[in-house]
Amino acid sequence: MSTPFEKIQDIIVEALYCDKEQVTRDANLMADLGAESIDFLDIVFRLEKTFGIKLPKGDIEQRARGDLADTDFEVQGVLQEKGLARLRSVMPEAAEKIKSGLRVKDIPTLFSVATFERMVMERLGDAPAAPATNTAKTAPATV
Amino acid sequence: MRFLFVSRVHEISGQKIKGQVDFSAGEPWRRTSDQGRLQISTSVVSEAIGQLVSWMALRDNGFSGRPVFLFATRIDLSGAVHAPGTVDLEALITDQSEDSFIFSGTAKVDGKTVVEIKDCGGYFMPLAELEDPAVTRQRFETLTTSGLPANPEGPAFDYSKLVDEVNEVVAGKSITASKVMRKDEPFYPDHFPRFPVTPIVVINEMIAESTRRMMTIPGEASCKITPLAVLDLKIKSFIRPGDTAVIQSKVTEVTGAEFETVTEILVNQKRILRGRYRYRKD
Repeated sequence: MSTPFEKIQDIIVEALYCDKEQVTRDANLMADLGAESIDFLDIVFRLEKTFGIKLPKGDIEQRARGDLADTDFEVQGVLQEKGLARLRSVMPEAAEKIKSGLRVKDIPTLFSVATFERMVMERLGDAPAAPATNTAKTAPATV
Repeated sequence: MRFLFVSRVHEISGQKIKGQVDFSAGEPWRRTSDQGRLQISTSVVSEAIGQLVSWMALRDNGFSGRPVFLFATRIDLSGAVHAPGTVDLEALITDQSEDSFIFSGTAKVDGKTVVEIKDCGGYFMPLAELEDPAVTRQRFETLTTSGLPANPEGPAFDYSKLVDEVNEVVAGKSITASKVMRKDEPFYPDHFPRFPVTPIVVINEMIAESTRRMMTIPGEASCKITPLAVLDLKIKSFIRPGDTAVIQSKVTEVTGAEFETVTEILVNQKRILRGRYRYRKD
């Protein structure tokens, strides 16, 4: 029986037509595996169907924003120090890549296979969520 | 040559829409079967389902965004559609956000399913970038009241012209073919007036035509194939007027008269489409 990670690997292989060996936890979806925006839609759809969960679009950005004032999170699309810190806590697997100058629209470039694994496991209730930054609820698993 | 395939919207309830498309005997997108019967390509009928669901999405977003279909998990093409005739259409949006959507739908003739689309999705594009929203809104009003007449009659579209050149072929196994999309192709004015792009139905027919040529044995009569299904279709970018589409197909599975291919289309050496296609050799 496949583990959740193996199922996620299979989904990414099907969506991106890549080799399974390339789909390591560290592999970046865009830089390493060639994903484009339509692929994210496809992968999220497949993950939702496979695991019976909902992965709301923009969830990571919303969780990072939390209750921060808009200008504490970003100014003219560029993440501010508090926004960067929140994003590091929400995406711990990409923390070292979250640096000054990062734009909100570039958050998808941070996604690795580990990002999707963490999102899935959080919704399955098998992993602790990245530290809560506000009182907004994470979408519950529907299985 | 009109590229509109919804004649009437009967009902919109929740996320479900029902309608119909009428085809006349002079429908330009017709084909003639070996038995001399006029048929409508199942790709065109698939397009009709997509256009139907688009009307519901357009109404719901106040005619601000048009759905652009970019992936489909499965499209089953299980029956012939004859002209003249009426096809009953039904579609259900199963998931939707501000900028993306997923739907499923069916086309039926006399209660029998001829096309079924499962989990097709994509993004919304600003409607005003594609067409005049006022015209679109007026057309929707007509569809929900008096309905639109069938497409104007005209010469049949020559599907063989969807492949310009066969660059490389191993009969029964693989093919590389190409098609230069002319700026005056008859499907561009309606798809879309302000931003012409090659419709998926034309792309699928282009793939079918190249597949037919792939399966034709040298020295034998031209092979006839019937499309059965499209699986795991993903489109990453548009094919625009003036682009040269390079179609690469290879047979991956053969079971009796049925076979499956993996097909990719490249534009400027960049893969913009990939899908699996099932056919039956007639």
